[in-house]
Amino acid sequence: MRYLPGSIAISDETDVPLLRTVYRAGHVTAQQLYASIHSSKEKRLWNTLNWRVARLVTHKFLDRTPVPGLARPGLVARPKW
Amino acid sequence: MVVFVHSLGSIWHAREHASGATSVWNTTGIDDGKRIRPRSETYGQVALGGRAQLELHKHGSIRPGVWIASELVEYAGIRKLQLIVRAKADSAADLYLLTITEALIGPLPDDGWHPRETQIVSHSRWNHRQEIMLLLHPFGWLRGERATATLIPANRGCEWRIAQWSAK
Repeated sequence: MRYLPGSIAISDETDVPLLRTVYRAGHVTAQQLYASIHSSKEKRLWNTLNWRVARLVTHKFLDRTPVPGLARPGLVARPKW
Repeated sequence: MVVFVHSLGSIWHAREHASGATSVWNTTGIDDGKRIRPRSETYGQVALGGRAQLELHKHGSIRPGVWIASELVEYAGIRKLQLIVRAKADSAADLYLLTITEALIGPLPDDGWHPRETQIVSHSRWNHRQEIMLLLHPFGWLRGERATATLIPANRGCEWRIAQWSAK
């Protein structure tokens, strides 16, 4: 069985921990999300996280919204509730 | 624990005790055209504490919202979860209590949920009909015969995000 084209398959190992981190936090920047998931700084891991967040935003699992008061402008992800 | 109560089962029971207190609980069932019968594969109850009973009497239903609830326990083959008191409206839920039927994504097979994360409160099945009450974590999933449903916290509640299976 395959998903219909345009669907997203959520991975228990990679997507769900990321989504739950954002859910518990309320809102986080991409940098904060990276720091909570990866202990080392690697461009490859950073690129992978950005790809994963963009994919989850596209499918409306996360919102990307500017939050006043956060130091770094740009990427902010939070679940809709 | 904080549980977001989204939906309950089709069957309500109430029993008055000699002391004057009343026990009220809810479970799943299947409407076979004549009446709603338990048809239980897994029997479990959501018991209403005093505050929840007051709300049920006032509104005729338990409106979706966050509750402080007991852990799900099993005794003598009966699973039981108690709704104790409403939590603050903006509390983040640890778990979501939902009841679904086969109408959502088709019948759920026995491996249609995460074996360790998802807790079955009550499960009724008869022919192709199914009603199942579950406790799911945020972003938990269910896999039915037609699609996968992922639970998304949304708008102070939750919603399903459904990905259909391809026929090919």
